[in-house]
Amino acid sequence: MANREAEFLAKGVEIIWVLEQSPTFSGGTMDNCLDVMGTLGATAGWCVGDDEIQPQPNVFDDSPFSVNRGFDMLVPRSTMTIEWTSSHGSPAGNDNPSASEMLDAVDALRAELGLPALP
Amino acid sequence: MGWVLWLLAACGGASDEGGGDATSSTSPTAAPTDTAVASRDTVDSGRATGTTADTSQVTLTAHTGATATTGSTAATADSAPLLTGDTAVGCRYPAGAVEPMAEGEVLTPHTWPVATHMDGRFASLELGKVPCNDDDDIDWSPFDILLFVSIPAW
Repeated sequence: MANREAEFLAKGVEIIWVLEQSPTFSGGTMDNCLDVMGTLGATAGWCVGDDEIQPQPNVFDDSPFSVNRGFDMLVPRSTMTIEWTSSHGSPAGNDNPSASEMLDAVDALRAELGLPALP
Repeated sequence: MGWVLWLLAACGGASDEGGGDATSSTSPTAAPTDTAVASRDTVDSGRATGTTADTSQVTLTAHTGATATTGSTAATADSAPLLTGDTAVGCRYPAGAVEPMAEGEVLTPHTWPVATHMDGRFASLELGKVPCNDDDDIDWSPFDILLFVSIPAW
């Protein structure tokens, strides 16, 4: 997992892991996020809990993107606009993009923003 | 459980693309900065006291066409700079954030009073400070793009 994370970092992407719920369906907290992502081998990115968002908690879980699934979105710092989204999860119909497809989306977005291409 | 399988696949643990190892442990790939390190006690203190960001000055436009504001201040982003520090002159969080979040729209400047980086750093994470390189807790300058990965229960 770490090597794929490094590919995102190399392209100027910071990851923010947002835990909507814990594995036991309790609160989505930073501590639970850390446990989950640590178990999965994540070594990069910020871990936060959906329950701990201010001023309004659970905006990720309550968003239209999250309907019995997880989701991903790319947001340029310069505009803070949601420019690309995908969904993930086992229910049919989710995008479940590979890391390579997501990196391709990053490349496309960088080009669209006029940012230099990165390897 | 499906999202876990996706994460493992997307990040290389169950994929033939990167040869990654989902259970491997390597050195952190993002080096801590000298301004980004906070103690857990400090961050927890912020959480306990309900520290909030300057989201009160952002106008949120709902998809219904109505306009709402967060907090008690109804100033708009156009008329009231979000960031007033010396290093933030001329830099504002983009106006026009909407709720619920939507593709093609500005993300609401959410705040997490406590966040932890996988390399062990703790800090408050304030999206309102992300665009302007004046965040005392997190150095965002190495990054052009944020990737949010929202994870449901497994």
